[in-house]
Amino acid sequence: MVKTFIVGFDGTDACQRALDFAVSCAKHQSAAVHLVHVLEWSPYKFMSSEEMRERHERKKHEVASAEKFIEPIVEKLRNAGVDITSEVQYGNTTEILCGIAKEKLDSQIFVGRKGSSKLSKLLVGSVGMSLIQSSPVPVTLVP
Amino acid sequence: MYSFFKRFLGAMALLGLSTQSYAESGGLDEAISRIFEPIANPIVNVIFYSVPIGGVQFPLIVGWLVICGLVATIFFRFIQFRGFKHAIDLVRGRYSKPGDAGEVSHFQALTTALSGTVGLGNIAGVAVAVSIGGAGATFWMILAGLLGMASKFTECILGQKYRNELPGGKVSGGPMYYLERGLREERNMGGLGKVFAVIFAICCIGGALGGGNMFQANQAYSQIVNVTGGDESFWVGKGWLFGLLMAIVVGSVIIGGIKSIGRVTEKLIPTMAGLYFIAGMIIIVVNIDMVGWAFGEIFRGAFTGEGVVGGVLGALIQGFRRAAFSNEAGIGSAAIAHSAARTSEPVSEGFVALLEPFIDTVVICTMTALVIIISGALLTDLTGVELTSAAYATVLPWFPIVLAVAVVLFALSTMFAWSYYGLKSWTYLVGEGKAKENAYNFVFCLFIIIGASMSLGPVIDFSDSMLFAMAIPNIIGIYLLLPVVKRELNKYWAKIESGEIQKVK
Amino acid sequence: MMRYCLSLLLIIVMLIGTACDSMRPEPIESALSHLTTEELEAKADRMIQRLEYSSGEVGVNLGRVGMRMDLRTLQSALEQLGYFEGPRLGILDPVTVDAIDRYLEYHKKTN
Repeated sequence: MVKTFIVGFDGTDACQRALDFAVSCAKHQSAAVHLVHVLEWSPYKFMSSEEMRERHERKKHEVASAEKFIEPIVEKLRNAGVDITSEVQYGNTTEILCGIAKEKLDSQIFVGRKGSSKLSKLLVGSVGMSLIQSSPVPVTLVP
Repeated sequence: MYSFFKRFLGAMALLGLSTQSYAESGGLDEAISRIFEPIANPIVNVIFYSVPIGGVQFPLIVGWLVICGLVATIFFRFIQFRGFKHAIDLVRGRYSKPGDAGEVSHFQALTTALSGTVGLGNIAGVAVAVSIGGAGATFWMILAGLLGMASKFTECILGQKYRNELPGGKVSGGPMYYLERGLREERNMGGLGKVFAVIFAICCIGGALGGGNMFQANQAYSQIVNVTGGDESFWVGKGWLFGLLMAIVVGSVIIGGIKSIGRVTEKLIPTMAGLYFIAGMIIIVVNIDMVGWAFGEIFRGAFTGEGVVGGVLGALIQGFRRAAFSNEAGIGSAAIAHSAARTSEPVSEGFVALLEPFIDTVVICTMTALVIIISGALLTDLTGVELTSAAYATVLPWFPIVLAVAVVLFALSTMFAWSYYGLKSWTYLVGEGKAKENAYNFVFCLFIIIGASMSLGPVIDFSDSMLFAMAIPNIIGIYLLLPVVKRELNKYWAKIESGEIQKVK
Repeated sequence: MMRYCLSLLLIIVMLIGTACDSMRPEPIESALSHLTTEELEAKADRMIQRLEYSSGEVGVNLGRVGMRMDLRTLQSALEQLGYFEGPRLGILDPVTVDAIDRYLEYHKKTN
């Protein structure tokens, strides 16, 4: 029995489809949905001194606008009777999703997949691919 | 803002036009030197007040810098060795809490600070040290780098502890603030602190114009002349023109507000530093059998001074000077840079900063020196960036061209970094305001032209004296505030032992 | 990361371009070696003047690196002219003083 459906969400159509699918699954199994919005971030990326000085302000700004962006979506679903929570995190999407899945027992990860499969995606590896390889829980790729 | 930029370009163009009249009388470069040298000479002679010791003239200011490193090293009981592993752990993110994501990481703080200090000091400065001091200067340079780790540790903790957060979230920090607030709060010497802070700010503006500007422009120009044909180059005698171009680039960023140029330049620095380092390592590796001999030369030179009376002290002076110039420990500039990073623990920033003199001086400067010694270029009468370039070219003939690109970028990024330090000091003195800031920025650009026009000797003297002058108030402040740092350090260790600060990985 | 790999690749390619036996440092010529005697003497004279040298003493502050660089240039010029031998460290030791004096002495005679 799955208790939590973790959805990686960045606002694209693919993610919207994943969210819709997760919501419908959750309704059937009366489980909760956890929406995760990841802001890509690496502590090892080189930063110019200007960016370094503005970093703290920018972080506050980014988090605020990200919350503002997912808040209406969460609110709409909550009003429709879905048990939904959300969080905004900095870091690598795959690592963050896996980290959350490790903490929440009996969860499942839902992510969207873009229609096209470009060569660059093959080389770099998409979030879906790396999740499949490293996730501690089942992963559902929604096309 | 834009109109100021236009005016700036106009003034530069005017300067360019007025060269025609000078063209007949030995060139604009010489004219600029003739005007500037008599102004600079008295200042240089005061800062480099020297006493004759053992057959050479020993500048007291060099001793001042070294003693600071020595005192900090002993006071913190060799923190640079005891805390080295902890510093590495911090940079590797082993103490980063998940909530820190999105903020400047220790790794980023280190690399950004390094990109401000690694540059011509490591490339051209080292060449000056070994050409005048002999191979032995390298030994003293390494020693000064190791001592500098402790002084940088101290000043960066102070910079973090006494930084000012402005309502907009921007942060101002650096010696001006710890001298003023630290001495008032800890020592009840508010008046004295304020005086020191003002002196430091004035010296820092000088340092920005000298070390962070003229030396950079001068050596970048020198390398451009070098790769475009040496004595037959188009650029010979046209230092002012090169300076003018550099000034326009720098001016368009700091006055014109075209931040993207600055950002692109800074982002290229790690690549350039990587290229320089890899090329150096290749030369050392293919001549690995000569490394033992080279170290032998370094030790022999350090303690025999090539058999010249006063040779040991001569090597020591040059090694210490160039190390201080390169890693800026005790100068106070690093405290300004590091205070911008946000961290809950001021001490952890100190540990990160402690790695800078190590990477900058002990690793990169030593590598440059080894390449120069191995190549045999020391036997020529070259100096400065030309010597380094010639040394690399003995093995990698194409390298001077790469170096020319790297040197221009290093020069630009150091100028950007220092224009900020100088600006912070300027606004500390006169207050914020667009017109005031641009007045400073304009002078900053003017000094690029002066620096490129003059020859290396007077430029390096002026740069050094301006930079080292900053150390006078800064080091007095460090001495007076050492107990504060000790207290912070003890608290920090206690937190680690009690598990309040935990390793996460 | 990609950039580092690329720059590494670039260097390796360039290394292959450079033949392996030329990896040993080649001797380089001194910058002053192509100057004529007159030019070398002019250089030496200018440096002596800049250093304000007279009878074993210099007038300038040799604690300044720029001045030591000038003295080093003088030593190089004197070496090329055959008056000075030894490490050029920009230090005014008896050997250097002797070389400068011999040079000045010879100069007085010829002029």
